Amino acid sequence: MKSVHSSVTRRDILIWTGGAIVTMRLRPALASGVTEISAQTYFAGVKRALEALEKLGAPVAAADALQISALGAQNDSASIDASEKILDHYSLATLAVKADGSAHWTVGGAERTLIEQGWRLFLIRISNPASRSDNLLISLGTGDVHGPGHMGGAGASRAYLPDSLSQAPRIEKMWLMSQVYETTPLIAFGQELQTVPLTGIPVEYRVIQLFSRNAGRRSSTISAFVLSTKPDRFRGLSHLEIDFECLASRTVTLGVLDVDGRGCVASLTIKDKQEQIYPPQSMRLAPDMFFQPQIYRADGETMRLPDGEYVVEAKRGPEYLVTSQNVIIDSSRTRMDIKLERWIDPAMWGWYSGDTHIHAAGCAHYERPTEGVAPETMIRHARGEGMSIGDVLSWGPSWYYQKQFFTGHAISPAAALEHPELQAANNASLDPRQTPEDRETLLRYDVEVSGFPSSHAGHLVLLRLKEQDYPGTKIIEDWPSWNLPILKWARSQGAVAGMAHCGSGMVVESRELPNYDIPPMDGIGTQEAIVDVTHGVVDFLSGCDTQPLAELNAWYHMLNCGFRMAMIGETDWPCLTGERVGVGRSYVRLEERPVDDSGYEAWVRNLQKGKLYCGDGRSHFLDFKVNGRPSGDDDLMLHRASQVTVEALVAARLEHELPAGQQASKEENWNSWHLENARIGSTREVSVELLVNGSVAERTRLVADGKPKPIRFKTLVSRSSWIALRILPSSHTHPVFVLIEAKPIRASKRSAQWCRSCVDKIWEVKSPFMRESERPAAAAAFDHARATYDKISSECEIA
Amino acid sequence: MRNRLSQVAWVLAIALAMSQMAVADEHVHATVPLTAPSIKIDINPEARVSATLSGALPPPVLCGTPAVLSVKIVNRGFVTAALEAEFVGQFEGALLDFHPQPLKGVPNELRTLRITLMKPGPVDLTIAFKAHNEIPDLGGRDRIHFLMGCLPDVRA
Repeated sequence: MKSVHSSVTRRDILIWTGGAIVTMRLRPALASGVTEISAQTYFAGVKRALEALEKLGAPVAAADALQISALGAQNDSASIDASEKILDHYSLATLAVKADGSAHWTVGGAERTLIEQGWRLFLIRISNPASRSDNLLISLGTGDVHGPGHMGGAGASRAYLPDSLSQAPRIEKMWLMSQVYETTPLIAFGQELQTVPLTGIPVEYRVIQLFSRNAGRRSSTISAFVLSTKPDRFRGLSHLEIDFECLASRTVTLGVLDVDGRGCVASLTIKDKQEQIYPPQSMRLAPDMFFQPQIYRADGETMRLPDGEYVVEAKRGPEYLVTSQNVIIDSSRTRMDIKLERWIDPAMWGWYSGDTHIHAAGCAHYERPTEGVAPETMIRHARGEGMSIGDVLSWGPSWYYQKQFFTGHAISPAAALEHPELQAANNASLDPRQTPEDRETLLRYDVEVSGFPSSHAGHLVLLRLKEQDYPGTKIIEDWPSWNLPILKWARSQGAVAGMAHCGSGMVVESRELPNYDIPPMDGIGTQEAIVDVTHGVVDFLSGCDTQPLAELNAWYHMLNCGFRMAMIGETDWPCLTGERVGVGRSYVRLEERPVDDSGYEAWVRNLQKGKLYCGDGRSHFLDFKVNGRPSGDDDLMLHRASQVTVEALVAARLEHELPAGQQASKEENWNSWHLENARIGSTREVSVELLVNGSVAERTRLVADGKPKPIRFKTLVSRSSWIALRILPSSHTHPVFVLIEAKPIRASKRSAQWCRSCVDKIWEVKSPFMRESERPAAAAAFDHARATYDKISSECEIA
Repeated sequence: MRNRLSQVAWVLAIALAMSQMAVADEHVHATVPLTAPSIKIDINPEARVSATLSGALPPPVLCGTPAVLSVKIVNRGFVTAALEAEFVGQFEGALLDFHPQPLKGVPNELRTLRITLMKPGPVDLTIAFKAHNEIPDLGGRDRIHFLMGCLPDVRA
């Protein structure tokens, strides 16, 4: 029943609104052509088709896209004619649906070139002058891919073929397969059919994806069935024989070498001269993600490409330069050699990066044949982004499947294939290889308390767990309905815990930092941490993936009250972004590179201590000290108000000019962490700021040419304080705490009052979601927080 | 005179629409109740918002009069921020009005969305949804598109 809804809805829309109207207005006009189509509806449909092609990695030529965009702005009949001529070059065939429901195919103007063992995308033009609202069933080849396993529901809109085990034998039997993009399931003839509902627009475009098993000149039949609105009845059908030239593809070996000549895993984005991405995003299998243009490949691994010229872009996280090279593949050239280039290696100064919030399931992930992906896939992505640590967090979606991967230890598995039989069927030609650098990247499976009863109060990231099930629980719904009990349980087993995407629910109107606006507390970030920190169980706020000011403001206020917690970097991949893992990172200082379980233990222990800086990896604080004391070490004890010396070795790298197509946000619009947003005007400089208790005490300009540069400040510390450096919105150090006469930090009465007011706001917004049975304990915990902030406020000498 | 003919044509169009509606009803009853909300919003635990057309749109109304679309919100993220809706692209003569009050954070809510078209003729609308101050959903699942039209006010 559910599957029919959307087609019915669309039909209803057409019949009740546009259908009759379009029919009345356009039927006479269409007899003489297409020039009287409503330009707005035509171009809206064309725009969606072109967006689909781009999303699938097969965009139309940039010049054509620009021209169609300009034509769309003209919004007249002449522009439709011009657009039709352009789109004909991308159209495999036109299906004309006549007023009586019969249909007729004609060949389109696209070059009918397919790729042996690969996918190609075309447009299908549908002419529907009578504005019919039937459903079409379109197929091409010796079989189509209709059948069980279609991605629906919360899954991404994409072709499902390669991700379904049951399809592999079928693929092997077919030389040509087709998949119309974004079909609507319809129950007819006793089965679920993937149909194309006619919108009623006289001309519309759909994307069809074709897979060819063989090379050479071949032909096949494209068929269209017009399904009647009466159940189980065809109104019309049409067939057309189409010939194709199928280009041979070759197995290409990839050489991927790090700067020291060792083999490694890297991120590769491969495009042909038409900007088409290989392998096509729409038909990928794990470990390749359909929502990323790049793939991750190790030295010695292979992929299949047809003969031709390609641009290969290689990178490995933000510490590496993006390299680009032109590569020709033909009978004599079947190898690509990639030599990575770094601009910085923080490990030379003892800093090792990690992303403590990535997911193997949920959000954009595959849902079939398994709920998300396995460690073998996740490790490939972490290695390919040059990370030392990746914390893979199981959470609500797919909890009961993914929790099997929790071991209570760090792992560094081989980047094997999860479903080699599918890869073989899909001709991914991926024979996993290990590299000498593999053991330098670790995964740790832990938990994000998201999609749990307490999630309303802010999502928890629990690291280094020994047990992943809250005591006495069997299902998610059994867990507490607020966070403090979970944080205490995590602390009791030696875990390190804090709040995910901490800026969520903390955005206010003020663009000042710090500011004293009370946040709405209507999201899933810091929220209950302001209460829980008074109970001594919050180790960190986790950010670099939401609005920077919203993340930092609460942190600064709590630091001003004397609480100690870290700001760490995370990505929440692929929920907040599907771009890559390690968009937000923590760089943790260690004596030696973290490997094995002991390496992870050392890394997370020092993260907890505050031996870290966080950011986007485009700027780095390599050696930050106050009077020679680095962050995370013992507090700097002074007997009296004194001037202190702040020294750091700082590196940042911007291109000479703002890269084409990239836009920097002005300060008042900072919504994300990116060094480009820190660029001062049109210079190659950024501002490094010295913070004392959250206020800027000094600042200096840094040339962001990638070379580490020493900076030095002197500042007066008149009371116990915290001192940090930042390049906003790119990176932030952990503070060095300076205590005068061993007094605790009581930096700001207003900060304490802000926190106190937040406690009330959090109770107002969040307590209605707590279970009745748990509310008395929560009320007591909130009262404790109120009393704590009142006491701190009374101890503050400074307003 | 031409205007008058045009108005007559629109009245005929309405009549045709009504007759076709009966055909639609026949099919609709077999699959989805007419009372099903036009739009379904799903907010996942990470506050990502996805939208789908889930039921019939209301019949066309007079131009200048808001068409009221029911919106079912399934809130799995306890989100209490306001849910925002906006047109993607510019639609001349189309207005959108969505319930501005914050969500209650409960698993299910019903809201209404009003779309006012000022000019007759079909328009292909795209609407995107997001929670206030949250990042939109990845992959374009935060938006829906559909055709709408309004009926000319023959009294005017």
